[in-house]
Amino acid sequence: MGELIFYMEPLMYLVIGTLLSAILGCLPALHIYNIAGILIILWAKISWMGGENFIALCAGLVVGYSIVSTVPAIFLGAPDEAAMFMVMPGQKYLMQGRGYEASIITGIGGLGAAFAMLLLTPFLPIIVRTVRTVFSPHMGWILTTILFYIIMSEFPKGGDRGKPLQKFLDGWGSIFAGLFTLFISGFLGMILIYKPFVNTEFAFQNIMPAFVGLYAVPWVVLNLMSRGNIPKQHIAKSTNLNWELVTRGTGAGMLGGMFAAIFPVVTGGIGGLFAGHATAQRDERLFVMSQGVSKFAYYVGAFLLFFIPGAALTRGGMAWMISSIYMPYGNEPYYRLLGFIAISAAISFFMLILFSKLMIKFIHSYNYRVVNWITLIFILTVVMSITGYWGLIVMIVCTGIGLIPVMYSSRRMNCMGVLLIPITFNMLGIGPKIAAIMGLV
Amino acid sequence: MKGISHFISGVAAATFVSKAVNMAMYDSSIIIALGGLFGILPDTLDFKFAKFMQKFDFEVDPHPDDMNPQIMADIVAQAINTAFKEKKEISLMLHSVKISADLFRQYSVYFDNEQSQVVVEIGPIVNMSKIPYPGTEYQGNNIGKAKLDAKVLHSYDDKTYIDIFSGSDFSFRKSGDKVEALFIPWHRRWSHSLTLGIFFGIAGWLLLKLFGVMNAHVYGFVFSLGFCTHVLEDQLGYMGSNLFWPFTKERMNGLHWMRSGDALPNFTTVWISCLIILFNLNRFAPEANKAFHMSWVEFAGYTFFIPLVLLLIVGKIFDTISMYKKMKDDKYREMLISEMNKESRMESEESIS
Repeated sequence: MGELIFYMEPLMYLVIGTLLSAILGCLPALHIYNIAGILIILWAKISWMGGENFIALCAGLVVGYSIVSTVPAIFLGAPDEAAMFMVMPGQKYLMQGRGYEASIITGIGGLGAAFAMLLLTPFLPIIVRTVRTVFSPHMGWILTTILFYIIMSEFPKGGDRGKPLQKFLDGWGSIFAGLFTLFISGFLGMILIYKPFVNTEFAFQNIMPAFVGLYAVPWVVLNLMSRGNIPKQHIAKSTNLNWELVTRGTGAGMLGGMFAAIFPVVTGGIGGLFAGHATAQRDERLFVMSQGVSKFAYYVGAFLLFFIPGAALTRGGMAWMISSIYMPYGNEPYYRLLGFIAISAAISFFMLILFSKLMIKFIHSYNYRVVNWITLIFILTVVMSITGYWGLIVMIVCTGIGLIPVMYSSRRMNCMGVLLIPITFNMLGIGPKIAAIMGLV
Repeated sequence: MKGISHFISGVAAATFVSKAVNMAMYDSSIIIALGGLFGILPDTLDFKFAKFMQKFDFEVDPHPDDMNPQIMADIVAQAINTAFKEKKEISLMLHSVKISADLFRQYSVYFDNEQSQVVVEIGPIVNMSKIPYPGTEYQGNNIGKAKLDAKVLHSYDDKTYIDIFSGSDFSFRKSGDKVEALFIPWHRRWSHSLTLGIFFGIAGWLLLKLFGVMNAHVYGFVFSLGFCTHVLEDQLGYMGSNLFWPFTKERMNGLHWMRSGDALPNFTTVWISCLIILFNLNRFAPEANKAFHMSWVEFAGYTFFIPLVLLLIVGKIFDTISMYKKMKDDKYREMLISEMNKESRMESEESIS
């Protein structure tokens, strides 16, 4: 009986973590890292459960969130930084009455990623150790390369009619807006990193209001400003995916997601962009699915890297937070975590189905504008309660920046300058010098 | 090829330069990233600058609510006939038909040389993935035909689809008793030249030397390498490039090995480039920091050929699955039986002989 409890206890915490994150994942702008941060502080202070149980709880939180947070991203249009590239096709599906389908396709992507991770189990330690050894001394220029690609790969939109100068200015409007967004976000990122405004205890929440302002609030504001209501949502019986699409989507998403998980600062959105371009995706179903894969691989993959024997790569918020209180040894935690991921992914997928249906009922019962007002008030409350007035001010400033790409049809990914620019400067060893020029140190 | 393929190829090419890898590792230089920047530069010059300088003699710019295929075909034919009669280069812009932020009405232009005519066909509404929405076919007459005075020579697709983004443009000019059609004529002309790549290298070297940058010649070499890699990769496609501008004026035909937007060549290029980067960075790392000790043949075997074989097997499994699904279709079964008969006949002939 004691042995049974020994094995059942972590599973119980895994299920609790999964269910908790599934519920919290449906709330826009509430990132699971915020909740995990609070739980870790509590755990460190009162040690209310065993270490292994706590890891199971955290695994449930990460896996559940990476699958179920699709629901607000699609139905309420409030994305986090990993979902920012998925939002556009997801919104298109929503406006065609196919939000449920988009949600399920993304969930299938999550399951595909979990399956791919299990398949890669024997190879991951070798791959990660090799990649880490080879690339570690080169991180500065690798991040510069990513920055260059984001800048260079945005091509003009429009500029078809009129005289050459007129066409040039019209076409370059979105590029100028994109560059401005990237650099102003980077400028703000330097301030946030060199002059943190939250207590050291909540240091990991420093960047949260910036992300909420850059990604979540502009979308809600846009929804409030738009006149149309969302059409009646259809609960489809099939997603029209075939095995070939699932395999291709999983392959592309895993590439992007694992790239994001392994390299610092690269988010699931950037990884998804790279993978999408590299595999020349055209099919929208493939695009939506691979974004689901990429998101799962980014959040869960980054967490898994911490447990890889002999590599112990600390990537992603959850691994960073846990690394201060827990260090895995040997093969057992790695294989146990893979088991947790498989179980939690399966539960999360069913939760996704349930919550997607509930969300459809919710948005049909209430006026979509009212739903967006509730979302906005909820976001403000979360930011205010975690980061206080300073956080709220940062969020408002970032909302202004986040609205630029929405208004000028440039890429929202440019907002990633908030992390990408300061971290790249730091990796190249010029961050402190630039901060000194800016008067921050 | 896609931007990312050129970009990552430029990065991969830069990693062949051991000095550049050492500069990146020990001096925090961004030289390898600059290889990527110059790798994507030719397309940047075209799509961000040259495109806007183009002036058009004729434009097809239909209104979404009132598309007349006959008028559209007439304009295209007029452009071609004018080029033939007046013996001068005539440019034509085929604008896309935007319905909403992400929906477009598709139409196609086909040069029918057998009938000496141009055919314009209005198609369905498509999304940004170029996937048509069922039930959005154009109501009313959707085909327009106009007579041509000469046959049209073209090295690109037979049918040009105009759907998403900005549409397409051509230039036409007389070539013997025919008219040559050049697809997006401003693309891959002066910007896709090996000469220009060498010029950028020399200019970069001199400029950086002027500013007192150490190893300016290595930077210059990497700039040229990234740029020329792009030009040579594009030569694998259909359109080709003007390889030695300003000494040559025309685009040379490509090798026709692939199409620039195809998924497989793009993905293969990205994959191979990533492997090259990994191999070269490891090769030039100090002995104590090397992650693996393999020859390039061994490395390529493990990281490229084995995954390739596995992918081919997975692909064949999918083909088999789809074959069983198609078995219900009579035509497919007929074809299958005929193939089976052919195979058994061949086998029996071989046994007898």
